[in-house]
Amino acid sequence: MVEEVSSVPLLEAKGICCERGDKQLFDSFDLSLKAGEILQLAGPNGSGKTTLLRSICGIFDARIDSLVWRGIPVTDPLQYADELLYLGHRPAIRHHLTLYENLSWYSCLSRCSDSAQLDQVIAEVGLQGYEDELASSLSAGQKRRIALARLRLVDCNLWVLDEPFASLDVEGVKMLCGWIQSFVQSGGSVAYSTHQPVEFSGCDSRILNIDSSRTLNRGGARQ
Amino acid sequence: MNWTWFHKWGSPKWFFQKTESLIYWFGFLALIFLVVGLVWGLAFAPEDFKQGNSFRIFYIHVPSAILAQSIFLAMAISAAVGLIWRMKLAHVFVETAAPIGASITLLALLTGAIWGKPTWGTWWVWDARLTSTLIQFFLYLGIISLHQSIENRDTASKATAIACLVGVVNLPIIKFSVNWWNTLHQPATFTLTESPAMATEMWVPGLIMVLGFYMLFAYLVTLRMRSEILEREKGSAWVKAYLEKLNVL
Amino acid sequence: MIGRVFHYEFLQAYRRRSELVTPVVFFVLVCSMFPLALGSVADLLAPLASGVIWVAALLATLLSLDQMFRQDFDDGILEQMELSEVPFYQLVAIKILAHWCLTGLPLVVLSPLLAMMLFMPSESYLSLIVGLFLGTPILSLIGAIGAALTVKIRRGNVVLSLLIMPLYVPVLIFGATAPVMAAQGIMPAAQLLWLAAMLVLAATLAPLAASLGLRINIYGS
Repeated sequence: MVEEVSSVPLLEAKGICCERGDKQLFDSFDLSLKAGEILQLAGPNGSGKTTLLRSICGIFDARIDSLVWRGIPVTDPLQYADELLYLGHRPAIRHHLTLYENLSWYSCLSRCSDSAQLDQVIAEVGLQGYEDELASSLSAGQKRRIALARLRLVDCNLWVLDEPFASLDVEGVKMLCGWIQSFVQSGGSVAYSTHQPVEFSGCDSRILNIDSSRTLNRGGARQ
Repeated sequence: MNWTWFHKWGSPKWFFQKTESLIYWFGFLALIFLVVGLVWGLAFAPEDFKQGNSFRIFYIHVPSAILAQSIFLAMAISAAVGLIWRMKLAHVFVETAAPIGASITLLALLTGAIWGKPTWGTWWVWDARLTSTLIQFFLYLGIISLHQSIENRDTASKATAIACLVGVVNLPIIKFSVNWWNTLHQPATFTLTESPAMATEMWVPGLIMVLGFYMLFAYLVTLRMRSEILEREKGSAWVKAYLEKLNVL
Repeated sequence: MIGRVFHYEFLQAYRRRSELVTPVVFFVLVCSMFPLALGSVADLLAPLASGVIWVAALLATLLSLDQMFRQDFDDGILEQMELSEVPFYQLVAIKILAHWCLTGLPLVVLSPLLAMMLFMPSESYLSLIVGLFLGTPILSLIGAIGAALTVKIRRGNVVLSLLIMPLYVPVLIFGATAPVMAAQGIMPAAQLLWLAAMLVLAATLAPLAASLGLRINIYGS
């Protein structure tokens, strides 16, 4: 993650069209993200925050006219998937594996296994002592922390987080905010959705209000 | 090569307008062919020297069996087109053709059973052709029930398309294995429709019936596709305009 | 890496074994219902044995298929797999393999016991075991396509059975006739080779079709 001083956006998606059921959620909607930017999606339930996040990850059946990553059109979905990390509101925890096995499994998937790193990450999310507990016996907040541990395991340039603050305690929210800030300062970008008011000081952050964006096509910038 | 015709067919509106008059032709031709074929086949074609008059159900059994297979193949091709080019109209074809295909297959099975009674003395024989038609009927039912039980329309269309393709890959293997199984269990039974060197007066009405069945299918599937398009596009301006025109007339 | 993914896949399935053992118990139960229904005469049961065992194996596989993807789909595991750097169809293939190891393989292992209980002639044993060994993976592979397509349907089991059962016909025909032929002193090479050929075909195409089916369901949610 090298600091890049360029005007080329990290991600530029043009002409996003998606519908859910019979409802047209987005019609030729444009979204762009600079390197080192935090984008918060706001809007009432059902406005399409999750759909939009899933669309830019490529796991929703949306039509995107052009998807450009660092100025280069995306052609290889596997390589694109390598650049981003998606955390859905389903925490993607394997309930019949232990905490350690869960993280180890995930690092297999992202081809970066280093057992020393795993222990360090477990300590970082504050779950030491639970390594050999089955994930099903952990609380919702602890499960969310396992999911968040992925952010520390994988090296990538874009975090796409769907409701990352859900069921986290105050400590957890603070921890995640800290991570997001340091990630953005090192050149990464974050797109996330939340209902909680979260402040990031000293970061380039803006709020995209989805309900009004359909007519405005751009949210109000805040900084 | 010019592909605009292909993309035009992908537009529901274009399809709807083009089939406006075409559908009457399908219906008209189906009626002519079926009436001529039936009257010729049932009243004027000569009797079969071995089976007597009971062979005349051939004029319904064989066309329906042929059509049932063709519909499956057409559905699979259409499913592939729908998946590869994301053409919604192709999915509409698959979904609307499936119940017709199932009904035609059932018709083939029933007429087969009716034919079987005077020929073999029983309503049902595990004859290779009847058995694979039965399995094909089950495949149709599986595809229809898959389509009906998925709520999201897009997901349902695509899942159905995949099921069709999987089915069409398997169908030859199923037919082969059933044939093989049949020779293993009951050697040399009299097979329907394999009368060698049929007289011209006998097969011509059969051919007309086959054409009539194809036209009937074209008529039915166009009718169903048109109503499905109206249902899907009910929010669009052209459908509203079309409906308004209907009310005025 | 693939080996470790398989390890965790297997481990997870193994820890949920109570769900996976049920189909195996069902297999044994169905087979032992036949003598009760038909009578325990050896001459009557012996020619039916291979058919009974194969139909029971088929039903047991159908029963187990619902578990193949549903939990992981609901938990969001599959969407993480789809986003991972390992090609999705490979991960799906690993899942199918792990599933077969815990549901198909026990059927193969138990089959001689059931064959004995159904008085199958001893010349048929080998072709039954080899046939099941080649055939049950096909059942799991084809079944995976159905399980993938029905992963979002709440009571998908009925639809799944309706969709998949016709596709099982060739496997059933070749698998069940092999022991019958062997009992007549004929080497059932044709059937077993056909099963092997179908296994190759299914192993090549089914993971692709299943991953496509899962992807459709992931994209549509």
